Amino acid sequence: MAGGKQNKLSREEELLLQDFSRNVSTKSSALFYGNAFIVSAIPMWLFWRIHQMDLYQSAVFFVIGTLISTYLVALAYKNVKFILKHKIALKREDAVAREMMKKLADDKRMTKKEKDERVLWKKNEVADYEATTFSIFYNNALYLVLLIVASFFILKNFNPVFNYSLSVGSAAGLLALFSTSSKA
Amino acid sequence: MKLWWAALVLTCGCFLPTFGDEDSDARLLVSKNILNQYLVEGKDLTVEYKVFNVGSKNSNATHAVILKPLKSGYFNFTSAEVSYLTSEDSKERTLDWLVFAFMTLPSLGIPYLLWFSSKSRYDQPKPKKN
Repeated sequence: MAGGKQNKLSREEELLLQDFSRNVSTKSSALFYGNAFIVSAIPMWLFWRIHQMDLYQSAVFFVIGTLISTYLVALAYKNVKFILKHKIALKREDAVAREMMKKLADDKRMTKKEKDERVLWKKNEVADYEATTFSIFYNNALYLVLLIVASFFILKNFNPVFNYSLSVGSAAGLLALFSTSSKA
Repeated sequence: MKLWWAALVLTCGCFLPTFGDEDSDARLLVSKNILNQYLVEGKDLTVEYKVFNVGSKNSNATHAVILKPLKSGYFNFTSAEVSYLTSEDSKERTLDWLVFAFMTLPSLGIPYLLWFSSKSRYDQPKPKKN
């Protein structure tokens, strides 16, 4: 591939990628919120069983904490995905192009432009998929680590309600903060 | 430099209460008493249990159990046997933690496997060009 062609392609591709990135589709938004809800609800188990909080008496705290945490964790998923998608798109560029070209090589009717578009579309899809899954994995792991460190080490001897509010709040808050501070 | 020290001291301070944990252990004394002087068939019989915590958190509790003998005959009362843990977090947490691990597994394992399968599909060493 000639150098000029490559430059043109990557600019097109940047446009395409930006088009798709910040505006998360409904499907992926639902995926983010669903995952964020599950991981935000898990601390309830720890505080119920191990910190001996009463499920019914503390229901208000649990509901508010889970909802706030869900929102913040979903925000972190989105931000990290956005950052990762560009990096992954660049990384996967050659492999995806090679795979698609091999696949489309037999198709004689397809024009060069059409093939390039297919490659671009596939690249976007692969980058989106990998960024989404990795962002969920990374944020879930970080959230749980932060939560355990906060609730079982730093706030260990505080009153459970205070411990729950602060450890869930700080784990989700730090997650959202980290996701905005890291540079692409 | 001073600020650095202050930060260190503060950080350690957060963990300090942890060291004093042994003080909060329970030490229990238990007594069991039959309050009735005579046991009569069909009449209430009261058994009183007293639990004294002479550990660091001084407290005691009394429980009374009321029974009704349904038939006459000999009956041997046995002494009360109590088993207890010295503090809330001394045992039986393993199962709770295992369940916790089981709950977190899908939310970590599934996204990781999905990501890894895609990565290993595309992240192969470049084939040599002719």
